[in-house]
Amino acid sequence: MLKEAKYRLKLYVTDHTLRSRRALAQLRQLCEEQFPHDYVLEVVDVLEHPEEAAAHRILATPTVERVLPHPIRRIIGDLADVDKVLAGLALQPLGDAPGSK
Amino acid sequence: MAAGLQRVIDDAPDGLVILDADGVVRYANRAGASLFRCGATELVGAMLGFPLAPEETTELELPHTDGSWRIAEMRMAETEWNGAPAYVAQLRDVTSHKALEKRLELSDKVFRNTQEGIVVTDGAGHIISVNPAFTAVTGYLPEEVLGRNPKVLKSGRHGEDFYRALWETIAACGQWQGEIWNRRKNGEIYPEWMNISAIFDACGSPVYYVAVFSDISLVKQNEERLHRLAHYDALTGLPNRVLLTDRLHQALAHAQRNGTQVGLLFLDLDRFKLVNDTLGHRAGDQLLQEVALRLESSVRAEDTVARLGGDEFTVIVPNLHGPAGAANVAEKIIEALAAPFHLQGQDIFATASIGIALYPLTADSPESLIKHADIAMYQAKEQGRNNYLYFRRGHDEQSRDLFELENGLRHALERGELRLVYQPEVEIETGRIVAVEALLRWKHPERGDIPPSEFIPVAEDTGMIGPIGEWVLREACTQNRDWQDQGLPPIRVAVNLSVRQLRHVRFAEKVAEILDETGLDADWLEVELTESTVMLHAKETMGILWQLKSMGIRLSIDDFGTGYSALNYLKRLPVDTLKIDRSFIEGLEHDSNDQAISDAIIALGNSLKLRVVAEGVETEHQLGFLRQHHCCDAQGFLFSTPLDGDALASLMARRIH
Repeated sequence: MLKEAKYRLKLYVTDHTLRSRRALAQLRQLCEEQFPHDYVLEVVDVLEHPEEAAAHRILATPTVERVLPHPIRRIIGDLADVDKVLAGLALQPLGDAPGSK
Repeated sequence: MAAGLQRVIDDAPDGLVILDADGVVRYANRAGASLFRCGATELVGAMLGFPLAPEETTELELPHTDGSWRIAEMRMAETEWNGAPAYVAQLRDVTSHKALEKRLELSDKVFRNTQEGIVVTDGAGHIISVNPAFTAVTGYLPEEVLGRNPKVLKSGRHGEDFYRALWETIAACGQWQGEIWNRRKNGEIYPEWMNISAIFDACGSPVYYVAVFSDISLVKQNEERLHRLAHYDALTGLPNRVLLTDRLHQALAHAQRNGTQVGLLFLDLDRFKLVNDTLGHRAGDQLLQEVALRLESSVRAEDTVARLGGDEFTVIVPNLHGPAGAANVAEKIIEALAAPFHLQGQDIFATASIGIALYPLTADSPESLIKHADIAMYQAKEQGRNNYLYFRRGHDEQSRDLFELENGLRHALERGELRLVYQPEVEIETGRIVAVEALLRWKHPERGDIPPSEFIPVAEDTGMIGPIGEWVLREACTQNRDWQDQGLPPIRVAVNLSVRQLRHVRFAEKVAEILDETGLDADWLEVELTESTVMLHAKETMGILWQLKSMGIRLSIDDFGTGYSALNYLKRLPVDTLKIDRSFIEGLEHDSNDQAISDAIIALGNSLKLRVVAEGVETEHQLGFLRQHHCCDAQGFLFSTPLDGDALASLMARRIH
């Protein structure tokens, strides 16, 4: 049985603009580096799925939501700075992970 | 103080949103709340998210349920809210600004990437902007033309009037479009399709002029190419059938206006197939090209040489004043083709057969010109090739001069070269003249008397039988009335009709008119039709013959016995007289067959109560036979040759006394 991923992130974007694609690429790279083989990354276009955005009360894009581990946390804005993203999502960077010391 | 500040923050034009450490909204001012799809009350307490912004700003999209979204520029700073660490996000709505930027970006892209050249000038006509396509078309770099007047592009092909009209149009309509020739930097001139628009300021004076143009030299070239393909033969570069027909129409129209003639030469190389078969198609093609060159050099500038396909060529020879001009060209062509052609190291001799048709003499339309010239070409080939021949109607050897005949016949009426002679029809029993047959004679100024058998078919073929036939009728009626006026005993005058005349819808009316004019009683007019004519065209002539009959005119069937004696028709037609063909009378003395036929015709006529006239009676012996078999009347040299009006009058006068 497949082990459930430890990290589950959702990226909400508006349309397939250049900025959305860039945000996705940055986030995917970050996940690959930080939680290799242990994450699920979902992308939701709020214009295509307005009901989902409304249900989750997504107010702005790009929004990254940490679904797992609980509790839910969100960040909005620029995803370029990996440290800030990790800090904003209250995820520890790989280097600081428990057991690495 | 705090309340005052609160008011200021609430009313600030930029949105201000306070978020706690978890990204939950703790406060939003009015501008801030208005950016979100939920109202301010719902916004507070909602998890917007922990704001991430670099040093400068970042952009957020704020989607609305209707599918639209607003764009906000976000800046953030750390602050405190109710004693806890918090963030203040400043949101500025840049949606319209972004849209404008996008539009400008698009405009710029269009400006830079369009294939059409664009020049923008200020109101005074100085160039302030050009696009890359402008440079591609004109060869001028932006720095070479900025600040200058577009006049630098003038080709010199348009006069002052052209530009004046152009600017007048812009002044009046704000716009001009059309074709304009300009000059590239390399000096080459070229056509453009140009659209110039004036852009006005609030006061209505032009501040900019924008000219958008495309180089249409390729379009023009293609147009010309297409025209060439459609109108010229690819192998020889000569006009093809399409252009030939077009030019023929023009030439005929011109000839009709100016009373000139048009010759069409139809030319076919003799034994061309042999060249193709022995030397190959390439040699054949080369020969056709060489022939085309020689043809062009042996005709006048106004003549058109065309290739119809294969080894068939035609030459239009317009503005002729007689047939000889066309023959001159044909002779020159034959002469030009006489020298050998050098093909693949061999001397090839190529001769041609040429047929000539002439408008309006032997053809009356472009189609018939081509057809008739083609027929004549085949006759020229049959007669031994390497020669030319005029188109003639019929294949008869004797009609060699038919063409001149036709030409002469056109003038015979007006020149008074036609006259009528009258041959008496005599009642055999009494020797009394009961009728005369009017016979047409034509004295050609050069060729003398021309037999009717020669010129009547020409008149029928060309339609001249119409006016000539009318003249004959009028003349015969006039003459008969004249005899009656002289106190001579009334006789009938018989006039020969052609089926062509009968086909004329108003023929009966015409006859009535003539009788009225001349004052001759219809009883004294007889019309003669040959048996073959009546039988062949029975259906179409039946009506008109009955019409004539009802007017009191008599009908005589000429050459009876030679045709398709259908007694059925004979009974149904209003026939009064049968004329036994002269060939039977001729054989009466020795041919029992002719005797039997003559006898039968007489018997038939008598039984149908028809008058029977024997034609061509020359001997007493013939007359004896006729009398014996109860033939009513006779006509022939035995009684009298055809006589002119006065001579006949004297003859009749003598017989009375």
